Amino acid sequence: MVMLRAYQDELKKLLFFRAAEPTRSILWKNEIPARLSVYRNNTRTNWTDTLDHDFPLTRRQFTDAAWRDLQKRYFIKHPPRHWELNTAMSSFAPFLATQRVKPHVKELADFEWHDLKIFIDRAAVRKGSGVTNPTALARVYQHQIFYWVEAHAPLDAPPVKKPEVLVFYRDAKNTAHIQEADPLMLLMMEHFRKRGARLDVLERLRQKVLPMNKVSLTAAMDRLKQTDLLLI
Amino acid sequence: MKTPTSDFQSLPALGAGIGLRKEHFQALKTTELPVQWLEIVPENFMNFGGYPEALLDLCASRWPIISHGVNLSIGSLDPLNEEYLDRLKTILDRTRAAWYSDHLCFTSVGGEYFHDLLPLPFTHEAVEHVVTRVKQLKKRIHRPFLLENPSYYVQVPGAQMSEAEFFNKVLDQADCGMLLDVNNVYVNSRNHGFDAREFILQLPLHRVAQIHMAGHKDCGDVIIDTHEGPIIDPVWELYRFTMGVIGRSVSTLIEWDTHVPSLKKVVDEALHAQAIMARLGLAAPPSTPHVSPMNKVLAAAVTAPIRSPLAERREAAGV
Repeated sequence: MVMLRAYQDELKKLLFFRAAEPTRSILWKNEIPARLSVYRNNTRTNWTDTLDHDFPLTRRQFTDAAWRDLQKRYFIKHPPRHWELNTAMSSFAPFLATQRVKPHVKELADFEWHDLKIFIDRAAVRKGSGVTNPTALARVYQHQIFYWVEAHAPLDAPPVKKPEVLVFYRDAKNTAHIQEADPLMLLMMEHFRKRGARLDVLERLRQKVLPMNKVSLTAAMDRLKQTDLLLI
Repeated sequence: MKTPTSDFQSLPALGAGIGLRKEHFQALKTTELPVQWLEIVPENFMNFGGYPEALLDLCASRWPIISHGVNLSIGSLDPLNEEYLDRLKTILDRTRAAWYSDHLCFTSVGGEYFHDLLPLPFTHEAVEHVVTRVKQLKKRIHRPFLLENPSYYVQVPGAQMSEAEFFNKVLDQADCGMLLDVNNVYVNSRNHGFDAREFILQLPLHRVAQIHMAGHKDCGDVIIDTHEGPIIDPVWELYRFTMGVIGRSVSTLIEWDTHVPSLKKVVDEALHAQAIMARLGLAAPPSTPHVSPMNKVLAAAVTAPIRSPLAERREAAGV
């Protein structure tokens, strides 16, 4: 009789991506049943389809064969460790960052992941909650990723190498936004993450870290409030 | 003395419902079709806020919602996932779910997920393991729990009992209900060469509180439970037979997950199930018994356009 532990471990060995496919199994004496391929296909296709869905533009940067090879190497190293498949793909952009891939493609994967992340972020975005939008996060890129993505990331026109800072967030109506950030905006976002943060304290902080910035803080706050980046 | 069992027959008979699928999100917001109730895959909502959450709240304001999980992994030797259970309980409470179901299978090993439903061996060890876990689960979710008979494609070596005996033992000892997937019975009977009707007669039908109906894909040497296409006549025949022997109205759900057609076409399948129940003289609820008027505040929250540069594929991914 096969014990449950040995059985479950064996199925993992037979169904997960492997560098070399097993040809024998402790479960079946003669040969691995052909119908086991139904499970193997389901398992692997569910994983790879989700990766394709979550990183559609990144996927387009590779040939079919190169993408399949990348998927296989990724899932050998990072089989899904979460019960929700999209969430399980959180390790893909960091994995890609370790691969021999063009730097702007690594940044594209990071962009696609964070675009998804803010759209589904569990945090509640409520006007008047008195703090910075809890879904807001800033990412720094060495290339002009935003406009390249808007143009559907064409292969023949890679993004210009020029740093950009983007803020990703979801507004109170569940619309996802990506904005180019300026230093004052980032300062204000950080300052108002704490409930009860004061404007006069922000002013003193600005004089210290952005001494050349003379923009009206009230006007800047109004702008961020209109876009739901500040929920004050 | 036999331990008294829970009364799964008294769970509400909701009529024939449909699965909430991303392809129907837009249509459901305004539909006048006679949708009786919705089944959700809770994993598609448990980890998400924003649009998916608002949409779920909107649907829950209009229809009864029942959760049918895919990754509880009740048969796994991994400990039950605490975060998963917390989130699940939140969703069940939020949607006021009358019961909750998942599959008699395992989906994870060593904290890593197949994201597929893998069969358990029909052994005493597996029975004991699942029974212990169901008891743990029931303490967390505070509502009736049903286990579904999955489709399976290989015979797991070392079986100590038949599939029907396995199901009877688990359900009796864990005192949980059954979600009888009629299409899975048909698929398994074809793939493994047994009589589907005889199999159904061996099941603990007094525990059946929900039925699944679906299409499948016939690949010649194997039939795969793909939830695609209209339900074929032999499966409708098996449904008619099943409802006849059960002899009471049972909430029935149409699953259609591959090449999903229009909302109307799926609702038509549900109406067909409803008509079969009616023809058998089984008490069916009125056509729209649970439907509340559209909640305008919630509707506003989900009708906002999504303007992310990648909005199109968000819609495609259903998240």
